[in-house]
Formats: sequence, C-alpha cells, structure tokens
Amino acid sequence: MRSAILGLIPVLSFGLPIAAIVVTYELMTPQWLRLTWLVLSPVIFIVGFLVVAGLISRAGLSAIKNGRIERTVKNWKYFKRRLHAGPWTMLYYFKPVYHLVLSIKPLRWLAFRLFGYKGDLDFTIYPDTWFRDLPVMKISSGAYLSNNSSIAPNICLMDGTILVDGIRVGKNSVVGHGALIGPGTRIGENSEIATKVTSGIRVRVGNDVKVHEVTGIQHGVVIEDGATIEAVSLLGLRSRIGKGVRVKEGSHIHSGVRLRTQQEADEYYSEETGALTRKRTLLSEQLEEALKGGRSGITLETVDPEKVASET
Amino acid sequence: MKRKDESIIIQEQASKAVFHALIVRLEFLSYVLALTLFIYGFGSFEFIKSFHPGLSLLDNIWPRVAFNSIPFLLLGYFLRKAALKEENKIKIFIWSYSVLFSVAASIYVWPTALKGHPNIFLYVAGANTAYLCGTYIMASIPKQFLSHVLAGNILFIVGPILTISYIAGDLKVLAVVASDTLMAAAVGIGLGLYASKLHNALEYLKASQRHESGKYLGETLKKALYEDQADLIKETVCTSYIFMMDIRDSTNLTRKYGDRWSEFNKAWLSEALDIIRSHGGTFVKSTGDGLLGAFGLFDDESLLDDIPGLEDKNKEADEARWVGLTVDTYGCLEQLMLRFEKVSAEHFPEEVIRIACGLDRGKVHRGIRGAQSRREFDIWGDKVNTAAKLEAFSKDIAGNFDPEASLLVISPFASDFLENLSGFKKIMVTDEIRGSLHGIRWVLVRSYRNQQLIKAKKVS
Repeated sequence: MRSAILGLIPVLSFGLPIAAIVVTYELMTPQWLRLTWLVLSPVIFIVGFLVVAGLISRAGLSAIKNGRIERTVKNWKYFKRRLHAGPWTMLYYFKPVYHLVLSIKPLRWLAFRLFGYKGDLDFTIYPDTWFRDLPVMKISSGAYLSNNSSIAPNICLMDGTILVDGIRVGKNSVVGHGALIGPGTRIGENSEIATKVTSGIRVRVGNDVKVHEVTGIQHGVVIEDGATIEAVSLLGLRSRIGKGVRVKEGSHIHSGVRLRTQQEADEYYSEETGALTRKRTLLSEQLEEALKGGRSGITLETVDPEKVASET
Repeated sequence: MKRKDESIIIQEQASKAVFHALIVRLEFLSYVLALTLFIYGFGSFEFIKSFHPGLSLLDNIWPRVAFNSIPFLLLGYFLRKAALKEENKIKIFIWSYSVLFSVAASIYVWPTALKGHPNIFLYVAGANTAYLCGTYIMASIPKQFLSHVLAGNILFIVGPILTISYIAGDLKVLAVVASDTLMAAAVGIGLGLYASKLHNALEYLKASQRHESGKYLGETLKKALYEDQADLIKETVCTSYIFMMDIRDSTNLTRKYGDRWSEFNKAWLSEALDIIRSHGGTFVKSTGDGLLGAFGLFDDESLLDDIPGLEDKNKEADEARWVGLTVDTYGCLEQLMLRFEKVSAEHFPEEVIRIACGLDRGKVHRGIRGAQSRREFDIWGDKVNTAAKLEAFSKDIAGNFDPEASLLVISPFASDFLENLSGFKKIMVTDEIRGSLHGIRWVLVRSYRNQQLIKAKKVS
C-alpha cells in the first residue's frame, strides 16, 4: 500500500500539471488565446509541477529531522521521509526545470519554501550540487556551493539505518568543486573548503578557516577559527586543529590528536617527517649493504645495455 | 584601534537590533492600518454619500476591505514570515504603504474630486494627516531609507493629491490640501527620522552593555548568550580533567595582611586565568581563594557515539585525546604551581605561602545552574567533588612532605595517562577517609618548592 502511494508521486506531479494545461486549452475558444496558452504551457507546467511536487512533499515534512531511522517503508517515519524525498528527487533530476528553478528568484523561493527550507536564500547553488533534506539545512547569505559538490545531510549505514543530520554553512563560506560535506557538518563564516575535499560526519569548521585541495577530513574533526589545512592532508577521526594553526601540505594527523598551537603542529609535523627520514636512511643503508653484497644477501649484476641490445 | 573595532562591532549589533525591531513595528502597523481603513469605511460613509446619494454602506466598505484591509493584513503576514533580508522587507513596506494610499484614495475620493467636487479633499484631510504623520512617526524609518520614503510619497501620495486637486480646479482647496499634506508628510518623516535616531541610540546602549557585560560573564556564557552558540550551555555529560586549587591557611593570611592579601589574590587570579587559557583549559569559577578549572570540557567526545562501526576508531581517538589532554593539564598545573610560588614571593617575600591542588578525571555534568533570577555556567558531579576533596586531603598528608611545599594530589584515574611518574609519591588512603574520597585507595602526590626562591630567601 505504502509503495503504491509512493508510486503515485510521479503520476500526480507530472500528470496534474499536464491535465490542467490540456483541459484549459480545450476550454479556450479563440484561436489566439489557445496559441498564447500553448506558448506559455512550458512555464505553466514548470510552476504546476513544482507546486504539486512541493505540496506532496509537505506530507512528509515532519519526518525530516536529525537522527537515525530504519531504512524501510514499513517504518512510518521512513515512509514519510520518502514522501518528502520522492518529489524533491524528481525535481532534482529534472535538470532543465531544476536549473530554471534555481535561476529565477521567485521560483527558487517557491521551491525551497515548499520543500521546507527555512534558511537564507541568497546563496549560490548549481543544479548538480547534491542537496536534500531541506528542512534541516541552513545555508547562510553569500555562501557558495560549487558545481559537483555534495552537501549530504544523510548517509546510509551498514546496519540498515539512515543517519540524517543537517548541515550548516556560514555566511560567505565556499564549498569547492567536487567537495563532499558529510552529515551534521558545521562550517562557520568566511571559510573555504576547497576542491575535492572530503569531509566526514559532524565535522566542525570554525570561521575564517581554509582547507586546501584534496584534503581528507574524517568524522568528528574540529578545525577552530582561522586555521589552515594545506593541500592533500589527512585529518584523523576526532582530531582537533587549534585556532590559527597551519597544518603543512601532505600532513597526516592521527585520530584524536589535538594540535592546539602552531608549535605543537610543527613538532608533530617534524616527528612525522623525522620518522620518514629515519625510514629513508634505514632503506638507503640496506641498499648500500646490498650493493656491497652484505648481510641482506642481495647481489646486483651490472648490465651492459649494448650487449643486451645485440642479444635481442 | 582596538576601541574603534569594538565600536564597529557594537554599531553592527545595534543596527541589526534596530532593523529587527523596525520589522516588528511595521508588521504591527500593517495590522493597525488594515483595521483603521476598515473602520474608515463606516466613518467616511456619510460625507461620501453626500456626493453620491445612491451609495450604500456596503458599497463603501467592501472595496476598502478588498483593496486596503486584506492587502495590509497580507503585508503584515509577509513581514513576519518572509525569509527576506530585513532591508528588503522595509523597502517593501515603504512602497506598499505608499501604493495602498493611492488605492484607498481611489475609492470614491479622487474620482469624486475629478468629477468637479474638490471640496471632498477637505473631508479627508484629517485622515490623510493621520495616515502620513502617525505612520511615519510610529514606524521611525532610518535615514538610509529616506530616498525610498520620499520617492514613494512623491509618486503615490503627495504628487497625486496635488495633481488631482489642481485638476479639480479650486485653487483655495489646492492651497489648503497642499499645505496640510506637505506639513503632515514633513512632520511625519522628520519626527520619524528623529525617533529612529533615538531607537538607534537605545540599541547602541544595549549592545554596548551586552559587550561590556560579556567581559564579566566569562567566555562560555558570552559565546552562548551573544554568539549564537547555545549548545555550549545545554546540560551535557562530558569527560574531562577537573582540578580544584586553593591557597593554604588563607583565612589567617587574609586577617594578617588585609588589603595586601586582596591585591595578591587579584594578581594571582589574573595570572592563573592566563595560564589556564594558554594551555587550552577552561576556568570555571573562583571561590574565595580557590579556583575550579577543567580540560576537555567542550570536546564533544561523544559526537560519533551513535554511528555504528566506529567503535574501535573512536576508542583510538579517545586514547589520543586523553594523551593530548594529559600533556595540556599537567603542563598547566606545573606552571600554575611554580608561578604561584613566584607571585606569592613577589607579594610576600617574608612569608612562605602554599597552595594545594586536587585533580581527578572522568565524567562531569556541564551546563547552567542556579535560581531563576541568578544563573551561572557550572560543572558538577562526583569528579568535581573528588577534586575538591583531594585538594582538602592535602592537609591530612602534609606531614609527609616539606611543610613549606605546595602539593598536587591526583586520583588514580588522573594518573592513567601519565607516562612519567617520577617526582610523585604514592600515599595509601585510610579506611576512614576512603568513603569521603569516593572509594579511592591511593593517591599520587607531588610537592613543589622553587629552589631558586629558597636560595634567594636564604641569601636575603
């Protein structure tokens, strides 16, 4: 029964606006009026589709809350979630329509408010920016959510549940191209999450933070105000980067580590670098020993390239 | 420079509050105007009927309801609900208000004047004055919107009134209408601007009071109350290091030194707060000569507890967190104990003043406590009590150490992550005291004496 109800969503969303257009067309008698109606029909369809889908989604609005629920339509809350998510997904994947909705302010207002979004509307978002569960999202004025980025407030877990936790992006913050922002993440004001950064669940990013390209941020990481994470770094689970601390390029900060001051960060970095240097020295010593035919037992043969060429 | 920054912040907060209050007033005004224009349908009936003998009461009321009252009700609702910037809402009100005046006047009044009855303007002059003067004064729209107010007025209120009364052909009426309308608009807008200045001054005063009081509330309460971080004071159970510090024999010393003691106390507290903050700790409160502090209070370490599959990784992160907190806590306490000796020696070179500190680790409650009229940020729970009792326990075991030494007493839980225990003495807790220390069987104690200070004192 519940699946059948969900199946009705596309039928109603597409069918009702089309029916309204056709019936009105039939009722019109002057030819010029019919022609005008036909010209306007795409616009009528878009608005009609938006309104019908949005109104249907409101039936499930109360189920869009932070928390974990079982992922089956037998579960009443999940069924209601689907009532909200179904129409939004249809709109999201109906790219020409979604593109127009995002581009035209009144349509954007209508769509976002119908689907239960309560925050500011003057932020930048693209048709391919993954964005859903609107009632729990809070994107502030001037924020920029780039193409291909995922602002993902929900995630399916292995135990058959779905975790929903709204995302907040502060004023004038930027989420770069292809970046992935996990559920429950909070980004402060004037911060930048650069291209291809991947951030886990419930990450806390303060104000004026810069996270450079292709950095991995694991779940529960806290990056305090003014910190900078240079490119291709990896911040381990629940690690904490203090105010104004700069984490150098390619750093690997282990789970739970707290780098409160720049001195601590530098020491941590040099410890890591020191370990790598010691490893390199050891390897070069082993290699040298091998070249001498020492205890590692490896012997190297000198090859004459000209001889090899003539043999082949 | 610092002063200037502060005043900019205060002005920004004040402007925000002014706009917010203005929207509330405009919403209220919209509802008042909706009701007033409905009532005007009754009040204006008799004089309009004198120009239109066949007019029924309903004919005079329904257009006012449809074209004035309902739009004003919708405007009020829109101002409350719309997720627009406040500046845009204010502009929308200004223009809607002006346009709706034209709409109201177009219901019988202006058409009657244009049909050769300019006298009708004399009947509506009072209502016009109230509409212009009352609204602008009550709205108190700030100067930055003056261009919109003037443009809306010229295009939809004063301009049409003067034009129509001129076309109607009676120059005496035109003179009366012109002087009345212009005076009402000028007085309304002028007083409104002045009132908006007063509103701004009041909000500035409130914002600066908030700013100043924030300095006394402490970082946590300030962030929670004024920086939209209410989560910080939501009652939560968290895990942290908790320490309680108190000056030994302070009652006698206070009596002995009076004002000098008070000055020393201030200096010590200020130093202690700086040290705690610089190590990433939280100063919770001071009581007399003692102070309560914690490390890791706002780490939100249970943030991922509801995510399955992360148990092992979470444990690993917990271990690393405690290692980091241990470094911060012991580093801070070491510095506090040594700094105390120095500060006390500076203030009282003739006296050896000692301090004691109790440290425990574990679950604590953090949040807001107190009566309805007086609340404060606090931490509580067994571990807080234990820290206080360990500090007090230092009196019982003082005989085992140099009588002039300050003592740090830590619980077994607080020593779990200590890699180096050199310098600590293990003291077994007797059965009588064990109960009051929540069953703790032993404690580790470290004594502090600044050798350089001892030498300096000996020399002097």
